[in-house]
Amino acid sequence: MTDRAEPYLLREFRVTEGANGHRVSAILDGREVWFESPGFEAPQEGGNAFLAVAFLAAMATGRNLDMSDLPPVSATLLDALPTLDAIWTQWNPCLSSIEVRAQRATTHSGPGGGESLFFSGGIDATHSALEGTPGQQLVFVSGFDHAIDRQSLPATTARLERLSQRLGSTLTMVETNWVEWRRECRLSGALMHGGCLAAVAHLLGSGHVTISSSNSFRRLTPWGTHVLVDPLWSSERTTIRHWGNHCSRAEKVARVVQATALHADLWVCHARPVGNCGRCAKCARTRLAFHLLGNTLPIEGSMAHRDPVEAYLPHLKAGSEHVYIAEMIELARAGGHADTRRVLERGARRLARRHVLRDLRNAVLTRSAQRRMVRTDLQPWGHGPAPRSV
Amino acid sequence: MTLRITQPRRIPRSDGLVRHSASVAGQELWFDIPSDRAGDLRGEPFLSCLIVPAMVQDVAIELDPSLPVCPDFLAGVHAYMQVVRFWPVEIGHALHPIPIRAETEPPSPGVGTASFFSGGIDGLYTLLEERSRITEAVFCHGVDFQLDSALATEATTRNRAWLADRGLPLLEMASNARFVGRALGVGWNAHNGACLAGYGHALGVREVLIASGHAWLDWMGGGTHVLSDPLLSSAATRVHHHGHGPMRWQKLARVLAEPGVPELLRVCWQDTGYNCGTCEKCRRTMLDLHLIGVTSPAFPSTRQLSEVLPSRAEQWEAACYLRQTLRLAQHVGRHDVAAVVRSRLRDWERRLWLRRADAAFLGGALRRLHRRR
Repeated sequence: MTDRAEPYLLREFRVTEGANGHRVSAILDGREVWFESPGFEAPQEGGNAFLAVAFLAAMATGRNLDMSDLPPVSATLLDALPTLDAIWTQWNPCLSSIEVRAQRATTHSGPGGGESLFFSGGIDATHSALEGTPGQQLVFVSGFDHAIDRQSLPATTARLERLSQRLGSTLTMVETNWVEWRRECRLSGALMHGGCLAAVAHLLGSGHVTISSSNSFRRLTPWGTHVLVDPLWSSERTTIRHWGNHCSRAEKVARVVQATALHADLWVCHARPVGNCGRCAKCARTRLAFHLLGNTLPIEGSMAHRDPVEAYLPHLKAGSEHVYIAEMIELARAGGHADTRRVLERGARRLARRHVLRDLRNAVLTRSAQRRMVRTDLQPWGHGPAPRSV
Repeated sequence: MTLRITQPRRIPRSDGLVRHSASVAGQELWFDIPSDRAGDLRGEPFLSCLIVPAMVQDVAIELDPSLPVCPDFLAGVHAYMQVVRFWPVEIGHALHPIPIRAETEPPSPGVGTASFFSGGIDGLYTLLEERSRITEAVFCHGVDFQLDSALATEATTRNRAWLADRGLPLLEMASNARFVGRALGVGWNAHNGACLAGYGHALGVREVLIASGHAWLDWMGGGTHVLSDPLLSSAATRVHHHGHGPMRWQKLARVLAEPGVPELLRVCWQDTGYNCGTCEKCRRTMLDLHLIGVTSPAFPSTRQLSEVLPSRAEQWEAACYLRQTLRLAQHVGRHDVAAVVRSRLRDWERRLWLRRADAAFLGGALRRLHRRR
C-alpha cells in the first residue's frame, strides 16, 4: 500500500499530435491518462483538466495532490476546491479532505467562445440538444462509458453524425483511456465521471459547456455529475453547467418522441456500445415510455418483438426502478393505457414490498455485516478492495 | 379557480412604518416597512409569499393591474415552480405549476445589501462571513415569534446592541405572510424561502441574503434552498441563499469565536423563553455546545449530559441534524455520545421502515388506526 503521507503526484504533462488531433496526457500517480481530439482548442488548460480528473482519485486514497509540475490552474477552479472538498467529504465518508499543491494562473484569456454539449445520443443529451442553443457543438467522448472499441467506433461516429446533422449541430469526437484508468485504479464511475467530463470541457475551451442531468430535482442524491457540483469545475474561460433537472425522465422522453427524425439513431443502452439491446433496464424503460407515448424505440435483435410492458416488468426487481416506476404509471394514466397502468401499479407494489423486505434483512444482519455493507455501498471505488498503489 | 390579489393599499402609520397590503382570499396580506424604505407598491412581495400556497391549492394567481411585477422576476417564478414541484415530500404537499396573470414593469434599482438576522446560528454565520458587503441586518416580526410577543422586544434589543457594536443597523419590519400562508393550508417551512425573498422585495434592497440551514450532507429540497431561493430575484433585488454547505456545528464553532455571540445566541421558536432549553432545536444546539466545549449563558444551565442528549427524531429534518451531530461526536472523539445519536438514528430508520411496511403490506391500515386513536 502507498504511504498516505506520500503525495498523489501528477507529472509529465504533454501535448503532442496524435492520429486524431491534439493528444494531451499526464502521469497520474504512476499511470498515464490521455485525451485526444481535433476539437481541443485549449490544450494549455491541461492543469485544470487533470486536476478535475485526479481530485477525487486523490481524495479516495487520502493523499494530498501535488501537481506543481503541471500547467497553472485557473484561480476560479482553485478557489472552488475547498467547496468541492467539503461536498465530497460530507457526501462520502470514505473520501478524505486533501490539500492541493498547484501553480495558480495569474492571467487568463477571458471567456472562451461557443457552446458545447456532451452528447451520446441518449435521452438526456438529446433533450438538451433539442431544448438548448441551436448549432452548439456536440461532443462525444469515446472511452468514457466503455473502453474505446475500434470496431464499433465507425458505426458510432456515423450514428452521431446523422443525429448532429438533424439537430443542426457540429460533432466533435474525443478519445480517452479514462475508463480504463479508472477501472485499473478501482475507482467508481458513479463518483468520478463528472471529473472526466470537466476535463474534456476545459480542453475544448468553449465558453459554455453543458452536462445533461440524469435526474430531476426530485433526486438530488450524491452523484458524479450533479447540479450543485458541476458548476464548481468551471474556470474563467469555461463555464460548466448541469442542465435538465427541471424535467422528469418521462417529460424528456415525451420531448424526444416528438423529434421522430432522430429515433432511428437514439442510443440509450449501456450494455452495447452501438444500438439498443432492448434487454437492459435502460432500454426496457425507455422503450416502454416510447410505447406509452404512442411511438417505438428502435431495438436490435429478438427483443424487438417482445411486448414492451413484458420486457420492462422483470426490471422491477432492481432497486433503482422505484425512481422511474411512478413516472411510468403517470404516463400510462395520461395516455389512457388502463391495463398497462394496472400492471405497472401491481409491479410498483411488489417492488415496494421487496424494498421493505430487503431493508428488514439488512437490519437483522450482524453489526459487522452491516458495517461491511455500508462500506461497500459508500466506498468510492464501488465493490471490492481499496485502491492499491501502482 | 383563481387566487386574486386585489385592493392594494399603501397606508402610512403613526409609528414611522408604512403598510403595503392587499386582499387575498378574504384576508389581508400586509408588510409593515420603515417609511424611508417603502417605495412603490408592487406585486413581487405578494406573489413571492403566495406562490407556494397557490401551487398547493392548484389555483391560478391574478394580481391587480396596479401591482406590476418585474419581467425577470416573473420568469424566475416560473423557473421556481419547475424546481419546487419536485419536492412534494420535503415541502409536505403536492405542488402544481400554475398560471400567473400579472402586469409587468421594470422596477427601480434596489439599494443596499440586507441579511435576515434573528440571532440564530445560520444568520450569525452569514452575517460574519459576508460582513463586508452587508449594509443592514433585517429582523422581521411575525417569523420567529407571534406578532405580539414580548420576547420579540427582548431579542430585538439584544440584537440591535450587538449589531451596533459592529457598525450595522438593525432594520425592523413586520408581515403576516406566515399566518396568511397557514390560513391557506401551508406551514412556514413549506415556503419560508419564498416569503423571505418577498420581504427583501418589499424592502427594495439590491441584494438580500437568506441564511441557509442546509449542509451538503442534507441533499433534499425544502421550503428554502440554494436551488430555489435565487430564482425569486428581480432586476432590482437579487436573492441569495447563503451558507449552504457547512454543517451546523461547523457554523456554530465559527460564530462562537466572535465576542458576544454566546450571550446573544437564540435558536428557539417556542415563545416560552429566550431559549426554552427543552425543545428539539434547543437540545440539539446545547449538545453541540457541550461537544464543542463552550458554555452559553443564553441557554438554561444543564447539570448532566443526559439532559441534552437528543430525543427521538420526529421529522426527517431532525434526522438530518442527528447525522450532523454524529459527525461532530466522532470528530471530537465522544464515542459515548456518538453511540446515543446512532441509536436515535436507528430508531428513526425503524419507524420509517414500519411506515413503509405498513404502506406496502397493509395499505396504510396501521397509520389510519394510529390517527383514529
